[in-house]
Amino acid sequence: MHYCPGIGGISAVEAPQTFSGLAILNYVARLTARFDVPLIVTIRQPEVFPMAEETVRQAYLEEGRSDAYDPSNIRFLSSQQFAYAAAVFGIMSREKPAANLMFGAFWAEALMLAEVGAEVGAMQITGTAQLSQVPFFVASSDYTLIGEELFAAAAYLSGDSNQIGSIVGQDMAKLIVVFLIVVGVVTRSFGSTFFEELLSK
Amino acid sequence: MRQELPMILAFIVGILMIVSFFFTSETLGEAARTVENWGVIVAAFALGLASINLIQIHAEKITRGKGLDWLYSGALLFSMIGMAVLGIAKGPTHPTYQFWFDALFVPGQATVYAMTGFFIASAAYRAFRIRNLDSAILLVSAAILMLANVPVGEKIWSQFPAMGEWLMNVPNLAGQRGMLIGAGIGGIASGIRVLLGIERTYLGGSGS
Repeated sequence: MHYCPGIGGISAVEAPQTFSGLAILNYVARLTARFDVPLIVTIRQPEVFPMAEETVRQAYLEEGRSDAYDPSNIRFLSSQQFAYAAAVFGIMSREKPAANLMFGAFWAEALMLAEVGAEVGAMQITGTAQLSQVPFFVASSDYTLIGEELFAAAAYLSGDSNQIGSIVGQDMAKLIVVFLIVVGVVTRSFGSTFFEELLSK
Repeated sequence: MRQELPMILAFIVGILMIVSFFFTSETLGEAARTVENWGVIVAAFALGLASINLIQIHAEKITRGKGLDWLYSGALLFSMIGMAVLGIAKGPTHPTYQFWFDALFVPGQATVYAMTGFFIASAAYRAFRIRNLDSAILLVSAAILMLANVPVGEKIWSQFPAMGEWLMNVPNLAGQRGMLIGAGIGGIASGIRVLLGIERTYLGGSGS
């Protein structure tokens, strides 16, 4: 199995996607440890590498399979976007993973990675909140998490009631936004700019 | 303490960055800049750690790899160490360093990027096969959009550009904005989970 927690870092706007990718990695690593499936994790950002390594190592430890943990399968490939993509092409072509999971922030390499995965016949589940890359994932993957589903999946898979509760909070925030949009549309349609001015302050 | 200390640090630093973004204060701004600089230093250490991982994996492939693995791994290590030594000894602006960068690395990156065109073609072939109503709608709207963006489209029917514009500005934009709002709220919720220490898998383990 191949897993990629996105190519984004942990200090920019895409950081939540990277953290979600690592949270899902924890769940995936527990399953691969339980069912004795080799897991290859490829990393682009150097600062994500120790986090991914620790996530997988700890997951194997918690499953009581520390003997099956292979540190050489957590691979930093390159911090350069297309060098990383080229390295993943090579790994996919040589190792021919049965499943390819990619969750996190992706840019132009999204389609390339997903297409190579489809070419080697891997079952693919992908997810990103980078809206420009969602269509590519939808076209090339078997299942795709779109936008907020990525964050919800990370919370849901943790099994922690506090995290699952935060998904409800997320939905309530969305309801508030929908309410604000409706109020904005109605007030603006009647020529009032009060609400618009209030929100722009 | 193995998990608590990083969580406390993440909370303090996270709150500092948020507060410095919303309030204008020289002290807060200076503190935020200092933390950002620390982040750069930590990232540099992480790069060292990642490089060691790269060297370990490829050194093992050279000694125990199958087929031509040793050749590829050898080329990678040679290039990596060679460029690092050259950069440290002569500086990254030295003509030799620049030559190898411009003659090998830049064309390599451009070549991989250029492959996107072929991948788009194969993905489009798969996506546009009519299997159900959804894919039929996708095919029709994509065909209209393609005809709207090529000169011959307007020659076939003058309304193609207007239809393409409507598709992009109305249904496409409405969908995109819906996703954008959802993703934005999801990102904020995820950030809050990390800051409050509710989400801590990044520290290793399930956190439970």
